[in-house]
Amino acid sequence: MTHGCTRLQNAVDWRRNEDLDADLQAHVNTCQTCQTYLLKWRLMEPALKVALAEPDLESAARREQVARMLVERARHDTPKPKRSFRLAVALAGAVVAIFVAAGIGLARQFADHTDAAQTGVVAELPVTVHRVLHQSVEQSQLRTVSKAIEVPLMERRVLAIGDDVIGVDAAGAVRVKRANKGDVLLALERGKIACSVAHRKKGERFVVQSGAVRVQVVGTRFMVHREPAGITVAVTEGVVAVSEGDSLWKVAAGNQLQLDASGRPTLGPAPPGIAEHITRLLAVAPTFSGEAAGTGAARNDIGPSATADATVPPSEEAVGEEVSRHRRSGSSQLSTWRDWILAGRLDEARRALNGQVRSEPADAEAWTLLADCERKSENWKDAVAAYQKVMRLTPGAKRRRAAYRAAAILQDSLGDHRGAVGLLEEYVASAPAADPLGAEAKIRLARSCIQLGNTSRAQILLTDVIAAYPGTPVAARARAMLNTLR
Amino acid sequence: MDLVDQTGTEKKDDDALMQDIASGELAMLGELYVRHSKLVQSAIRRFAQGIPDAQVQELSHDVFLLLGKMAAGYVPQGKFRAYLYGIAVRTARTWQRNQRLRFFLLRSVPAEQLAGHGELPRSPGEHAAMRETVNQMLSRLSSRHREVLILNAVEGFGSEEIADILGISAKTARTRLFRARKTLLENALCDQWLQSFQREL
Repeated sequence: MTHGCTRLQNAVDWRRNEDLDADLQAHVNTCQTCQTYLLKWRLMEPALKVALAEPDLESAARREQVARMLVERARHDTPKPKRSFRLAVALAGAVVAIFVAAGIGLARQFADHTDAAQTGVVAELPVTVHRVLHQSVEQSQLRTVSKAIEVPLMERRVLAIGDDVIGVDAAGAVRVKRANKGDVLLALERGKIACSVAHRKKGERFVVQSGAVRVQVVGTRFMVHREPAGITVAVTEGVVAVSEGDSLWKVAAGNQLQLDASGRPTLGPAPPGIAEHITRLLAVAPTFSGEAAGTGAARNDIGPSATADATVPPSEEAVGEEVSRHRRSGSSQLSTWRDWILAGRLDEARRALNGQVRSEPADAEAWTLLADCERKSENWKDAVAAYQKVMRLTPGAKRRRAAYRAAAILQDSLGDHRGAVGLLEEYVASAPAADPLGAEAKIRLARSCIQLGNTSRAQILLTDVIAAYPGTPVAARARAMLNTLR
Repeated sequence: MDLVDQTGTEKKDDDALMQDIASGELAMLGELYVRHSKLVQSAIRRFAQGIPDAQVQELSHDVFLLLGKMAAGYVPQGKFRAYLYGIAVRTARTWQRNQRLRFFLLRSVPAEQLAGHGELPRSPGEHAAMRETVNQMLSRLSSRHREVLILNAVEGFGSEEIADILGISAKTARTRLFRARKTLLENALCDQWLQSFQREL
């Protein structure tokens, strides 16, 4: 088969039509190459089919179930009406909106109601969506609640609906179906969500609908995980009621309920670490911050309660008592203070953390939280001092992170480039190659070097970044800075 | 053309189901899923190398949801399997491209998801050893040749259908297929493997 006869090239579909045409058949009878080709291929093809067969991922019953679910999803995701119809709907909506707005007389409401007429549903409560990326957080406002929030891999979303906070994990999809005072309805389409729900009065509801399963709460913390194999509801505070059809289960704090694809329930203790996992999902902080989730980004817009709580701080005695209680309860105190910071209860958190670091001056976690608290309060000097304390107390990644944050404050808010250079040089020297903030630290360092007139060092740093991260946005920024130096 | 299944019940063919979906009967999408989800999942696994099983299922759902949206523009030509397979291939390729982009930008995609790049997906099973040998042989082929070979030999598509799926001409599909077979058959491992396969049978 080496002399390269290609007469069979146009007859590659012979497998479906065994009868080669007469000319080709005559050729095959005389061509040894083509005979061998056909003979071997007739043996090879079924062998390949067997060897490369893919296993079936779903049973027949499961396939039927998924098919029904898909139809439901397709129904909710109906195509947009045709342009002319859309125009008619929009015009009709606009007319209705004008009448409504005229009655109310407020331009803001006019805009909202126009939106309502076009999409059908408007959130009564503000819904804030935090897009939590690898190294940053972006915030937007969800005006209408008709669209599913789809979270790509490598990202998270944190939704603040009034006093409730919902964390949606990577690859999850959730639809906010109702967002009214005391009545929130979420539809979990896939993936994992963690919820921190403000206490509900009688008649008020917070419901997560996941397929046929409903999870209803009256004030608690819990997580719902929807997978193809079933649904898991894990509760860390309070009690939730889970229903599917006529069945109803109550899941108390510390327990979890698993419903497999056939709806069979398994009730058992929640796995260890679930509370921390929920806290991480609810944290509006860049993903890289890992175990210190919730301490990274500004989070003063968590909802009406945050403002209300912050204006009426509890007394020193109350805080002191709470601190003592938390001390007795071990590490849960840190998570509580972290929650306070997340919820904007900065004064309370500061008092508690100051009490903690006074009694335990070597508690690096408390110093870290205090530093974050001061940073969110824009007490820049106190924040830097606390981060420097963390650097003295901890080695490795935590020390580097504190150095980076202190340097960022010195650079951005205090204009102390000399101080920033010292910290960032240390960061750059000690960071491993795969450090997620390595490139950012070098760019920051280059910026401070430029401010101090050390352009040669800045050029070296920027060239390093361009070489290490070719084609990335960070390299583009470095290149732009380098160009300004030349 | 309607089909009759083993129980004697009349079944609509795929083209008729697509027309029903286009006219608003979304329940027919479920029927198409039951018939073809395995094909779609197989396409995704073959064209998005290293993809986890859970992700395969998610992507296959996306493919069928997309199919529902595209039903209005579907022209029945009796090539529904190729049409669906084409959507699955494009979805899988988009996933793979995004995965590489994420790795490139963030350098944080799990290494195991990228390790399989350039190889065929592997899975344990009774033919694991045989599959290993086939993978070795197929790894000598270029990705273009490997694609057409698998589409033809394993999935059973003809050159016209392969052309539709991959967005190439039928002539190109035939040329690639011919060369892929020829390269495979000229591989030294091939004879040895065929003999062992026949013994196993």
